[in-house]
Amino acid sequence: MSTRDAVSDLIRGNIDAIILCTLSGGDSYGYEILKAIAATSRGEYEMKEQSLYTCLKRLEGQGFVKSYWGDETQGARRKYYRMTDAGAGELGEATERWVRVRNIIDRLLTQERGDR
Amino acid sequence: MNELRMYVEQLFQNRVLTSDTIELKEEIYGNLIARYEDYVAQGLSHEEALRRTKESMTSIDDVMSGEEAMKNENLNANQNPNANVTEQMPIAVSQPGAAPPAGDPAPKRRKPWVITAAAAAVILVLICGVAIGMNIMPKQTQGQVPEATVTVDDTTVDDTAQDVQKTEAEAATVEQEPAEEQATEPATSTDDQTAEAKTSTTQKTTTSNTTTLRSMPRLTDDDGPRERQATEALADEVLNSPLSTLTKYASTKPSSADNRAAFVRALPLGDYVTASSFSNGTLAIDYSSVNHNIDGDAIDLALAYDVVAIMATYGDSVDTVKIELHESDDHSYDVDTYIFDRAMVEDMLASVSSNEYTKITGSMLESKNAWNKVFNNVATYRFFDNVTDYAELDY
Repeated sequence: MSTRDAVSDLIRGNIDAIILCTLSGGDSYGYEILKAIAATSRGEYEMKEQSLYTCLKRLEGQGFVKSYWGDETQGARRKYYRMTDAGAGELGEATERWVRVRNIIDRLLTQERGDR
Repeated sequence: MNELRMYVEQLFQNRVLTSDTIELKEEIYGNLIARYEDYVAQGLSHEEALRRTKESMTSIDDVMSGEEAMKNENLNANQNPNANVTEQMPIAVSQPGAAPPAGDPAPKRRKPWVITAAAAAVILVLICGVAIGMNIMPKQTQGQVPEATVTVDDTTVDDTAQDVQKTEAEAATVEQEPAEEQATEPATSTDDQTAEAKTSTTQKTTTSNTTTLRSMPRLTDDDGPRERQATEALADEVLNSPLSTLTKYASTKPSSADNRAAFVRALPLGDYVTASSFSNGTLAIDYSSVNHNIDGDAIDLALAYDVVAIMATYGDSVDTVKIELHESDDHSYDVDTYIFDRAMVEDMLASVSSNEYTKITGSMLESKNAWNKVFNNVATYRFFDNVTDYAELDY
């Protein structure tokens, strides 16, 4: 497996939380979410549009986000997503999980914490 | 942005249009437009922006089949920076208003009014119609293969055939289309010429967007090209029917024969009007030789639109709209009759709009926005199907 795939897999395991985190800053729509993720990762990670729809559908199915159509008066309409209270709870838990796992792996790989 | 609209239609080619796929199509289109505008805002040429936008979404197989897409994320770390330059997300440059990062609180908390899939599709087409009207985009034929299919993501290409099959299999169980009325009737073509001559008058404005109206509810690829064309033409007529037609006659009375005739002829299906009358609160309209190739859903949509438009324009003076509709392949005595009672129509509209509209009044015509919101409800399958079902008399 190439480095790229390996890193991508690691991120993917947390992609739902990443999307929730993006939405915690406010309601957003597909392309804006993708852009925010690319920007926040400083261009190191780009989520594919196809994947985004799959994730959002899953998150909506779990009740973590709710979608609604924007009321753009001109141009194309956009479907917005809002994080629900359940989603906020899930984001908190997912973040804790990640920190815990990161600490464990840091220890197991004998890395100093927090230098990245 | 007609070209992107076409592109999205191509992505969904051979998909059965359920409310889910129509909604997904709308969503994808909105995001592709946002991406395209973002690229343009950064100074890319129209062609380059379009090319990159298309390459960002080359297939919907992954989306439709679910999890597969998760394997194909794009990670730029440790890559030749040019390797996938066409897909890269524009991030560094400031984009005036195009797509603020999600951390920006500015555009949040939209009013969460829910729009149904049918109305979503309808709005898309409206947008598309505007683009065509302005002649922004060159024509593009439906069969054209998008250049972007060659790119990037080989797993999606490999999966295509399989997924299409799967989708069709799902469709067979999910879609429970009532048998088409035409199927039980001899498909005589004697009337086709006259019927199509009529249709063609409404198609002048629509020839370049034949694919867009495939998003008409329940219109699947199984329909023949003739049916599709006729259906699209009528749906287009509904979608492009301007508010000004209604406001123009809002101050007239239904009893004024000339005004009434001009008004009903200006509405969708108006080309087929052969007579209209008004007495005791009942406005009656006869439509004759309606092109039988038009899908029943499109006719339902047009009738529902016309009835609400008439009731809003004439206000309380019209209690009932009675419609007699004769199709081009029917005998002259074979006429469908609909009685649209105002209270019934208002009940149905109240139901689909969650009681936002309990009365049909002239205030609906106050602004484009106001009428568009009404239209969004009228254009829902639930409304136009129910209201016409209920109104139709069974002999």
